[in-house]
Amino acid sequence: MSALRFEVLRFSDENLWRALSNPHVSPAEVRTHGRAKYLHRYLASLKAQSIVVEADYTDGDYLDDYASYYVKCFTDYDRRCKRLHFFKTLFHDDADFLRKIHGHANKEEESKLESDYLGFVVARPLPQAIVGRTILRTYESDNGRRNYTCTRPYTANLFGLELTLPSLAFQEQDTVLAACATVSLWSCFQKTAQLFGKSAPTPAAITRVATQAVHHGRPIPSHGLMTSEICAAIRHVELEPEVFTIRPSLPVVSLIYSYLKMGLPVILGVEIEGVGGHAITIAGYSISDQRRRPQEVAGSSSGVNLVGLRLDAFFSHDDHIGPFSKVVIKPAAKFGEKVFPVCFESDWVDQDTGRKLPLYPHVVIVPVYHKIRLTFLDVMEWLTGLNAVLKLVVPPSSPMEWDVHLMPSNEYKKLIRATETIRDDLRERILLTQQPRFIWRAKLLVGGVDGAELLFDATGISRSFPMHEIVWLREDLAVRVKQIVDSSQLEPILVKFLTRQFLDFIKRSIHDQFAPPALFPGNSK
Amino acid sequence: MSTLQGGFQETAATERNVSGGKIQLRDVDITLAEAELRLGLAEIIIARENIEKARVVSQETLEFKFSI
Repeated sequence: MSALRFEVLRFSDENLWRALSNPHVSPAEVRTHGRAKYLHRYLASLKAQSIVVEADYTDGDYLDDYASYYVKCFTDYDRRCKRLHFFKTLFHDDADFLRKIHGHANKEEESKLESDYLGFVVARPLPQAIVGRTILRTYESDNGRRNYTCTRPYTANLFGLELTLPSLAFQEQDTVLAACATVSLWSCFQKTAQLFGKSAPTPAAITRVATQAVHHGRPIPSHGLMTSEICAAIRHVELEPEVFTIRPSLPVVSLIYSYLKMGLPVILGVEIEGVGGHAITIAGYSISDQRRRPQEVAGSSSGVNLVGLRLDAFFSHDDHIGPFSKVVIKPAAKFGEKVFPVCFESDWVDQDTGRKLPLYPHVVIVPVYHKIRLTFLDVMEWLTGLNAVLKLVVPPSSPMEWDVHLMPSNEYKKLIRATETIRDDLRERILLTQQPRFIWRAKLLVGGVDGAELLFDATGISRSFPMHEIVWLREDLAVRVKQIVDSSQLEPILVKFLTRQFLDFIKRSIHDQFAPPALFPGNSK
Repeated sequence: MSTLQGGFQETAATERNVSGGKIQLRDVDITLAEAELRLGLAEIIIARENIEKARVVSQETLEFKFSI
């Protein structure tokens, strides 16, 4: 180790074990550590070449854990950590690295250094939970298949060199101040802090606030949190918890996607066969062009085909596995007496047999901004009736698919501005119309072609009429729908399916978008 | 050639389509009885009931503990 308290190592398993070790854990013990092994595999896939070990690193999150617990232990724990930085660049020695730090590198070299920066892992000086705050680059998108929507920019300052990368912070639980649920919340709050300007408390602070009201027994050492305690922690950071009990008929994959798409991390509570209840943070998804399963619910489907049918996996922060670990979506399953709409598989295996253990979903919890009052289920209620009516004009040979997701209306306007294929008058109409801050967008694809978009006021309430706009992207579709909704013969049944208000709204939307312009607009008065 | 109210013609509309692909559409000249059959009222009632059920967060869910 140099006098400057750093060390440059070639990336290898042995060097990683050594860099992660501390007086309580030898490199040989690190070799058997699940998260360390995962990190090695992950970084090798990202083509890591060098490790720069920054000694004597003060990590704010660990410092709070230290002040809350470790400083009061009889055993002597260090208050400082190591920080391991990973690069795709191969530094030959300390001097090679120092040359770049000293600012002797040219602009091109500096820019390459930043693009080659893969992130860092804080190595905590603890006996078990050695993987502290971890900020790592994600895998490439693979032509849009992989979507890491819940990342945000992080900047690491390495001896004056600012290195920025998109990621979502991960750490493993220490089982003293935090169990899986606390760590899952901690990762979520990293992103919601950026999205909504709310706080991102430390694990120790999350456990404290979550267990203030109803916790039975001592909160520290932590033995986990209940759903109600997770909700309390979410309210503490001035967000609202949307909680969904998983039932056989709930399209859970599309539900999770609908929040992820906006960048909102989702806490998925699962039961692992023979292990117990576990919470993970979902931070991204993998989507295909083709359907991956015929339906995403158990039993009979509602007939509303959702985009979730094309998702094959989620990317999760599982504190027992590692950051951005793959959670594969499997078909409906039965466990005991319970039927689940889907189940999941990740790196959880039976230690004796090596068999993959299914993860059965029990609950989905989403921390949302308090003004987002409309939920995925509210949107589904409106879509169910409309989807049925659309079946009158769309034959089964042109499958319909709904892409339902939450988004800020400003992002929607940006999207509309960038869409070249939209008609100018329609673009202008959308851009000039006042929108609520958050909207639910339900985009209809007919046979893979954009058909229409429904915009809902996400700040509205379900019992009101939250529909904000229908954008007809295909005039031929609008023509057929108009023939149906204008039919006096069909009106009674349409009102039953859609409600009078929705029926009139559809009629008006078609009329407004396709009515001919006035002959002499300037003389309208 | 079908027309929209106000005389806007479908052929002109096709030229202004926002997506290049073609979509197949059904003949919509149907009777009420046919519409009822296609709509599948029973299916929709069940779907809506399921949505109502899904709104309820069970006590078991609230007490579910994540402890691994």
